[in-house]
Amino acid sequence: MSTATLENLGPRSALRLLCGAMLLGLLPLFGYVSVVSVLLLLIVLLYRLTGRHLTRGWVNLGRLVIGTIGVAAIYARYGGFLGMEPGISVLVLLIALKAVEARNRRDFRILTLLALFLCLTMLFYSQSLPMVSFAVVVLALALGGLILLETRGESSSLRALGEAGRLLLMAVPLVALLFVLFPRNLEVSFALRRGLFAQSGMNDELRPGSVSSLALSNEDAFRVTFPDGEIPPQSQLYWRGAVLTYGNGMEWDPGVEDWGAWREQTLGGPLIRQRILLRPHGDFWLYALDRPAADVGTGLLRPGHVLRSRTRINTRISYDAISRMEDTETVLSANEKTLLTRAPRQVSARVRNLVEELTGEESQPAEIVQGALRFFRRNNFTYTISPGELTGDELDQFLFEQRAGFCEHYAASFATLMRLAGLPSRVVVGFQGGEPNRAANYVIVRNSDAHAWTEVWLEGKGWERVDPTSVVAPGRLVSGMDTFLQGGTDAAAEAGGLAQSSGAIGLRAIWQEVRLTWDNVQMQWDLHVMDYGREQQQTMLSLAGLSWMGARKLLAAMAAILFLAATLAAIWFSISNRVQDDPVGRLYASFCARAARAGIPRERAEGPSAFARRVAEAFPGRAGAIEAFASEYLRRRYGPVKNDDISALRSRLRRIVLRRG
Amino acid sequence: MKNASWPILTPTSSCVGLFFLGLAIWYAGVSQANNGAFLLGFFIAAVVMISAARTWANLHSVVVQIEPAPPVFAGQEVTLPFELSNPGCKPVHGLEVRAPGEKGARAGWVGRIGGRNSARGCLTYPAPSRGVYPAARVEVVSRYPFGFFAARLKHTSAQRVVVYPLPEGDPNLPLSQERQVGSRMETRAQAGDDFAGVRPYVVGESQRHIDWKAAARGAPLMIKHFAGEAGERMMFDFERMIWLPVEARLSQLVLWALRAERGGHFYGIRLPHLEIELGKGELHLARCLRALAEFPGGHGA
Repeated sequence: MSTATLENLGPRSALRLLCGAMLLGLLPLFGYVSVVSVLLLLIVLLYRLTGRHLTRGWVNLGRLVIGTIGVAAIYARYGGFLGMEPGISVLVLLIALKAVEARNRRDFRILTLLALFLCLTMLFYSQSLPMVSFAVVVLALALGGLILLETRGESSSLRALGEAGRLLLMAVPLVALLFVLFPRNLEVSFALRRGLFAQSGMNDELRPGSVSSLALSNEDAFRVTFPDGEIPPQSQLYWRGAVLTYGNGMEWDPGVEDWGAWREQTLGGPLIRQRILLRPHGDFWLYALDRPAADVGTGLLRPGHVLRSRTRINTRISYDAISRMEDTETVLSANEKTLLTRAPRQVSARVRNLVEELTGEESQPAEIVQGALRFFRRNNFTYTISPGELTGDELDQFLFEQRAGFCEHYAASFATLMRLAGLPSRVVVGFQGGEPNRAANYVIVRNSDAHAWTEVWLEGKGWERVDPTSVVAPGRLVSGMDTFLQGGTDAAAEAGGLAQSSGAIGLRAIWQEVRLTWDNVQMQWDLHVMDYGREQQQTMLSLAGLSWMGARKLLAAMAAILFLAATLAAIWFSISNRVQDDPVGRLYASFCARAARAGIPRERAEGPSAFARRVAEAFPGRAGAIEAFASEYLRRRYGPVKNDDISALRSRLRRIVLRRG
Repeated sequence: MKNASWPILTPTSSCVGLFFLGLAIWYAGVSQANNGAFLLGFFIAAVVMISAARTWANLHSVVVQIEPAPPVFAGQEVTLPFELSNPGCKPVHGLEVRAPGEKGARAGWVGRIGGRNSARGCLTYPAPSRGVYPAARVEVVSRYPFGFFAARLKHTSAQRVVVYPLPEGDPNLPLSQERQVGSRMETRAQAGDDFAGVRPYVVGESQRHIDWKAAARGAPLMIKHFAGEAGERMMFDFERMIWLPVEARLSQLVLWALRAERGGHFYGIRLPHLEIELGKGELHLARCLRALAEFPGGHGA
């Protein structure tokens, strides 16, 4: 190997650090991009982590194999190369190809750049506080690798990381400033295709099992803060998602989209404002507290008081919603009535009998509702997340045989019964409850809080919410699904908030506290940092009196700040790298200055002893002190002195007081 | 001693990659309203700018000093020793000392200089033709910490490098001028009788006196050296060497001076403008070689 190549060879320590950084950066992508390309990169990185180089022949073979397998796998999985998931898979593959052959410094630099791209992709998945911190950690490792490159491996990895960390720390205030100032009113009209990481959430069909399957997931669906005041009680927290009007026993669908004339002003009761942070779910739902009363920034209010977004929710968004608790829609057209009372034509005899019982005894609609609820209460129905499959006539099976089900069973069957009895009714799908964080005044609503209930239209009153679950499992509404499933319902039924309902105090309560505090921290992060958008920026700028700055001026300000920061940093680095102190010399210089002021300046080439003698001769009264000082100085300067203690010298200097004589 | 000037900071080619990364981050951030991407982007931008300051400051306190370079023969490489000192209390890293004006130069490298410390190194570059040159312009470059910026410090030294002419020509020493016959020098070494010892054979020397018996036994090649061979007096006269052009004469004279010195003879050089008396020894050799290097017509003379 020629000398030139030897010099250019990248240091092994840099390679190891770089591989470590990329391995970390790969972790969040597991399960979200092509498994094959991730595995290929993993293998390559693990091999290079040992610091070994491959010979040219193996390199070429390896790249061919990796390239072929990777491309085939990506095509097989995604059917193409456009789009976010295939795009990131291709990036991972490219990194693998580069990592196989990297051997000199230039290659390592390119690899570092690719590692930084990897850092970026993990932020497509999540921008939670832990994820962003993780990305910064990977950044620090990559920067450490660069330092090792530039010192040609002569510095230790730990020292390199330390330096990288220190520089990142110095960058933090600058980052905060830039982040706040970067103009947020720029919009890019073309959005990426349906994103990777949008969770599948609620859907607008109700089937036995459709809600319960969602309820198994503990993932966040959305979070709500109530800017006006307190969080409403748990049993009032119904979150409206979709309204289903086409029912066939146990199966319900949205039905005709634009049914009924759109009538405003059909809600009553106090106005409740919420601010909702919605996780991406890839669909058009916008949730709000029952019942949403107005359009929100990103969506419109549709018939049935549901909010629909104009575009798919592929990214985290937040919006303000206004809701009113009561529905006062006292007028229903004939068309609507027909639509909303359409019931399955074929029902079993038992069901028909039940309906006759309900309608026969009473003729008041309210009484019919109560009667049906009584049916559920009295007949040992149970609420369970896995009731088993229904066969044959599902409605009949459920009402008379199985008598066990989840909210979708109850809502569907109840609504059907109501329709069979001639009352307009519909099924509402959404969420119920949530985990309140009272200290921070917000509610976390999870997928496990998914719920279905019914609304029955009563003449003169409007749409009433009737939740059959409340008679079968009252605890569910108060304590939330999580605790309910864990069997903590009995205590929960009496108690109110979450703290008491968690059962045994002690470790569990402490853990709960910790969890909630950490959740609060993340919530604040999401709310103030990740959610920082046009409105927040406007608020901040007007607070600082800078709202007159448009996008261009803000960018110019950012550039100016960057340069200013660099200059300040340069000054700081220079100052902190002081040239060696010479306290002994300074003290001697002070003595010379004193003598000069008294009329005996030191000659240029005069040595310390000669000069001291001259001064002593001129000031015989101080001769002793001068000699003492001079001898101490000579000892410090030229003698074998071990310690750095110059206090003796200083005190001797102090005793020399010369006056112009 | 402080530097005469401040280091000059420039971005390196790595910044191009950063630019593309920035573009990707900007796109991701704006199209997805992804504040996390912005945060990452600003972190990278901020740390890169601060690293620029660090790169500059890293070099700012370093003091360069060029030390005298030993003379070399034309065609060899000049070794320019340098000393980098760090008077500050914090260490400096990653210093490369280059000679940008010289083709084929190999840079010197100092990985780390601790606080209040110094480090030595050398850089080499091919010696041009004979002459007396000012020491090459030296540039200290540092790309520490991340290699996105390079700080350069130029330094010119008052040192001079002496490049002797390449020794070439007839390896056999001419006898004293008085024995000159015809227009060519006769090469007749006076044979002495007393065996004075052996010395190692140098390639190019006359092979007449090699100790072949010892060589057959496996010993390295040695020259049998007789008393009476040393101690010759020879005065090399530039003017008389009319069968050679000027530069060739100088090369020949260098070779003879070297051989004469090695042979232990007394030698001197007579040049048109200068005469060096007979003598021997290292100092004498150096004087002769220098005079030949400085002969008008070469560089710097």
